[in-house]
Amino acid sequence: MTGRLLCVAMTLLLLLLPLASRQLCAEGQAPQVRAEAAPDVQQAPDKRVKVEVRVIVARKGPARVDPRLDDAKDYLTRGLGSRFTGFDLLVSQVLELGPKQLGTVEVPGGESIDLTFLGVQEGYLRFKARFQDLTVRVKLYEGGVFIQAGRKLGDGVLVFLIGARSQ
Amino acid sequence: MKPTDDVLNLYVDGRLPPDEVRRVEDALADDAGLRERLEALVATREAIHAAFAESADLPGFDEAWAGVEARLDREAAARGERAPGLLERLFPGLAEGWAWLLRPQLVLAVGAAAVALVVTGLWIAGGADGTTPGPSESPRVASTNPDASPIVPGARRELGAENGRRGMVGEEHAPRSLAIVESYAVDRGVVVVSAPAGSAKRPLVIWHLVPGEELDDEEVMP
Repeated sequence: MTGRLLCVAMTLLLLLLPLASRQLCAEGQAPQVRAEAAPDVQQAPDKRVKVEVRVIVARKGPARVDPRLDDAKDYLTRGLGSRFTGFDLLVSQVLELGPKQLGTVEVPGGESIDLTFLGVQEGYLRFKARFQDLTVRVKLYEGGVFIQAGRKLGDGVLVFLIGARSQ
Repeated sequence: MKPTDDVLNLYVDGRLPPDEVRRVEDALADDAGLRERLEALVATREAIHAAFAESADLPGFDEAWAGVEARLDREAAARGERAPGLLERLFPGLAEGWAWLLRPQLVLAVGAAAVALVVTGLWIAGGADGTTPGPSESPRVASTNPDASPIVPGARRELGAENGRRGMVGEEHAPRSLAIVESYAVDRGVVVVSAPAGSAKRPLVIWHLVPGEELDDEEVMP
């Protein structure tokens, strides 16, 4: 009889253990979840951003940089390294986006890159960028720049140089 | 002083120091009784060695014990009993006080609880941040937290790289960071995030590399 009681008690304890640990985990992560779920719009309801998107093809051929990329040459060479020596600007477009607003930039070849301004969070401008089957969420500091690259385009590699600043 | 039997035994074994050996040999040269005592000790030792040598030809312990076990099992089977297990043989008291530990019901209960523990642990690990993917996004990423998002099959990630740091996930509040990848979702290929160290003019780069295309991840490493 004692053995059966102990058996039932042990089983109940083992079953309750994971529930207790989940509760503890949930409590421990609560601040982070709140931070993620905090609506950005409430922090800056009217904030709009200006996003500059440059579509570039990078090549390993002759060292030639499109003159329209002079101001971005440092970003490209330092970001992509010495593996590419030629850069041609295909498209340059400035998007003005409000919170949760989507902007699209057409890319030669029928593709397009979608950028959604998700809002401002703790000083960062948050974006979702989607090109083909890749979707990334990026936070940019005011005036920050990032590069998305890697897909092949003709004899080169497609490069997106994206920078944002609030208005 | 006349050497004792212990000293003589050590002498026979060759374990006496040289000065003691000389002293014993001097005593033996002068004392016929001591020589007889030494011969008796040697004879006794030889008899013991001979007895051990004969016992080495007897059946080994393992064979003997195996025979005993087989006989016990046969007798138990003849009585319709289950042969005792190794633990029960080693700890006879187990069969009386703790036999309930071996009951199938308890084993099943503990097993079920262990399975529940594992499943719940996976559940915790998969959904601890409480976020779920939106319908318009790729269902392959379950969270905006890079740590919690599952590894996409066929994809590799190096998230958290920012301004020269690699693999430092969770520095969202670093004031000098210009760009931070929160999460990504990809259907094919690999994603490599690199951020060369140095000035702010070295931007964060998100590489999307697809097998068969020009680049591979060796090339994009800074």
